[in-house]
Amino acid sequence: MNELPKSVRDELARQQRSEEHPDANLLSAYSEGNATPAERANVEAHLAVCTDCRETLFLAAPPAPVAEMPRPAAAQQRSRWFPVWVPWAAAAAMIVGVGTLTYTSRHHEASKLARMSEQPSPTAPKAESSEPAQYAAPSESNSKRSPAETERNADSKSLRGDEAAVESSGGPSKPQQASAPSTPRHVYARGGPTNQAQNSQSTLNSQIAQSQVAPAPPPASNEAVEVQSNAGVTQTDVAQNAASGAPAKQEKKDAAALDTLTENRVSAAGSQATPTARASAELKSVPPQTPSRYGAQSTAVEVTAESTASLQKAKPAKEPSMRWRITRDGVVEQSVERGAWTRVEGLPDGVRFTVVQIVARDVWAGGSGDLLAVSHDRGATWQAVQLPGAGSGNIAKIEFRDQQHGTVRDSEGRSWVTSDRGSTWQQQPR
Amino acid sequence: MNDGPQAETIAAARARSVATRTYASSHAAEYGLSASDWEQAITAVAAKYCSGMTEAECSALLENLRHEELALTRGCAAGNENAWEVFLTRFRAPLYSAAYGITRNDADGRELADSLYADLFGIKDAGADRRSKLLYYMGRGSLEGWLRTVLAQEWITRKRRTQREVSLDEQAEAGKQFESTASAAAPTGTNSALGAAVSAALAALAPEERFLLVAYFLDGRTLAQIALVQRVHESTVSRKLDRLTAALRKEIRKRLIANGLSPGAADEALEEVDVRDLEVKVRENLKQESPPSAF
Repeated sequence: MNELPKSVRDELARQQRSEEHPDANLLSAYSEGNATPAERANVEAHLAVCTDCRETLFLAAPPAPVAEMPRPAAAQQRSRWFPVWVPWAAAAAMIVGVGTLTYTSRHHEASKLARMSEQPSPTAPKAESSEPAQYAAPSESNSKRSPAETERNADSKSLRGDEAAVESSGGPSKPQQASAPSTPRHVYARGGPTNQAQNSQSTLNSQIAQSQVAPAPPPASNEAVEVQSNAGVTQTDVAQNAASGAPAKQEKKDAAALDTLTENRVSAAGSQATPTARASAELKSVPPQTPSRYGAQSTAVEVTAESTASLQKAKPAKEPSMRWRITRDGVVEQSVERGAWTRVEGLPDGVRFTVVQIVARDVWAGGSGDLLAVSHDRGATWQAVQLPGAGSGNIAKIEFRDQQHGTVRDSEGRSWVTSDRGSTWQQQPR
Repeated sequence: MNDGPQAETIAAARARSVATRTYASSHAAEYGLSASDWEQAITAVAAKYCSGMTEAECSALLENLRHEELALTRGCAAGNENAWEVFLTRFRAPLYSAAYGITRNDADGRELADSLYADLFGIKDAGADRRSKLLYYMGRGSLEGWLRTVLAQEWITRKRRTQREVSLDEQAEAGKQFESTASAAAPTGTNSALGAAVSAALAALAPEERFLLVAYFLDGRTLAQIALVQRVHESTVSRKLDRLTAALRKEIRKRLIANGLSPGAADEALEEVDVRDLEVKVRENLKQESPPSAF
C-alpha cells in the first residue's frame, strides 16, 4: 500500500468538522446499497469529514461472514487418495475372524451384567467438590435396567419416532429387543471402543441448534424470544460407545429428522493413547415446507452419518453402549444398550438443552441461558458449569479435541475455552 | 420533479399508488394498520425523501422500501400486540447481539440494548405524547440495519459524553492547563504552497475517494472493514487506495511545480513522511476533532 504524504494526512484531519449528520435511515441505506446516487455522494462527502458518523457506520456494519472453520487435523488426512478408514477396516476384518467367537460369547454375558450394575471406571476422576452445583442422578436410574425395561413400549416415548437417532457403538450389532424404535431410518455414527484404561478415545460431536418455531405467545415466554431468525435446527442422537474389543465396522444410514438442520459435524478426538474412532456426518437440508414471514418452520432433514472405528484388542471389561439424544422440547434422553429412551436425571430443570457432546466418559450438555452441565461418569451425576460472563444466549456448540481442551460457543457470539477438562473456563474476546 | 406544492402533490400521488399496491404484501392489516394508516406512512417517507427527485426516481424509491418492516414498525408504534410479538421474535436477539458487538462488553451491551428498547417502546416519554422511536424508521434500509445504526449512534454519543467528563476531571486534578483546540500555526513559504496544493488536490477528489482515504489512513480501518461497508472485495479497496494515493501524489506534485517549485523541491516536500511521526501527528490531529470542552 502506498503511503500518504504527511501534508495530505494533516489536511484531511484539519477538514474534520461537525455538521448536520445523516440520520440512521440514510446511513443504513448507504451501508446496504439502498441510497440513491445523489444520497450516496452526500453521505460520502459527510463521512469524509465526520469522525462520529464514520465510527457509527463501521460499528453498525453487519458482522463479517464467518470464515470456514479450519478442518481438523484428522480430516486433513482425507486428502489421501484412499479413505483413511481402509487400512483400519482391513485390519478389522483380520481380527474379526480371530476374535468373533470369543467376543460374542463374552459380550452377551458382559452386557447383561453391565445392564444390572454399572461400575465406574477406576481411572475416572471424581467430581470436584468445589464445583458450584451438583445435580446428582438417582443412583439406579441409568445404570440398572431390567430386561423388562428394555422391552418398554416405544409409544411411551412418542417423540422417538420423529427424531433422528445417532448411535455410536463400537460393538457388533446384536439382536434388538422389541422396544426398538419403529422409525424406519436411523443415522448411526460409529465411535471407537474404549481401551483398557477406560479412556475412551472416540468422540462424537453433534451440533444442535435451536429450532425455528411458530411465533410464540406474548413476549413473556422466553422460548419465543430466544428463537433466532436464521438459526437452523437439528436434532440428532449422540451415542456413546463403551464397547471394547469390538472390531471396527462402518455403517451409514439415513435418518428423517424433525427440524431444519444447520450443522452436524462429528469428529473424533484422539487421546494420548492410540487414535481411535473418527466419525463424520453430512447433512443436507430440505427447503422449508411451510415458509412464513417468521422464518422457516420445521422441515424434514436427512442426516447421514458415517463413522469409522479404530481397532482395539480385546478388553477385559466394557461398559454398556449408550446413546444420547435431545428431544424437540430440549430434553436430554439416554438409551442404554439400545434400550428404551429415558430422560436423563440430574440435569437442571427449566433448561432447554440444545447440544450434547460426549468425550470419553465425559458428557457435556449445553442449553438455554448459556447453561453448561457436565457428567464425568457417563450421565450418572451432573454438575453445572459456571461460564464467566454468561448471558441469555443458547449454547450452540461444544467442541473438545481431547478430554482436556474444549471450546464452547453460544448463540450470541460468546465463546469460552478450557484446557483442564472444564474445571475452569476463560471467556474469549468476541 | 421540482420542489413546491406541485411536487408535493406528485409525491403524494405516487405514495398513494404505492400504498394501494403494497397494502396486502406489507401485512399492514395484520399489524393493525388500515389502508389509510398505511398510506400515511408511505406519504411521510415520500415527503422526507422525494424532494428534488424526478417522478420516476420517487416511484423507484417508494417501490424499493422495506414495506413489511415499515408496516411492522408502524404497527408497533401504534401498540399492536401482534406487531410487537413479531418484532420481539425477529429482532430481540439480533438487537442484543449487535449491542454486544458494538460495546464489546456484556454489561454495557445489555444496558445499551435495554435503553434502546425503552425508546422503541416509548417508555421514556410519559403521557399522551409518548412516541416510539420506531416511528423514525423509514424503510430505506433493513430494520435490523437501522437498529444497529441507532445503537451505534447512541453508543458513540455516550462515549463522547463520558470522555469529555473524564478528561476534565482527570486533567483538573493533575493541574494540567487545558489546551486550545485551535489548529496548528498557518504554514509559510514552501509549506503554504504545499498546503494549498494539498487542499486543492483533495477538493478535486470524489466524496467516495476522500472517505476511503480518511477511513484507512486516519481512522486506521482495515481493508476488510472498509470492504464490508462498501460491499466490495478487500482487493478492490486495496487497489482503489493504491491508485488514489499514487494519483494524489502526482496531482500535488504537478500543482507544486506549477506554483514555481522545482521538481526536486516538490519531491522533497512530498517525501517528508516518517511513519512513526505520522502516527503521532495523526493522533494529535484526531484529538482536535473532539468537540471543545465546555469550561
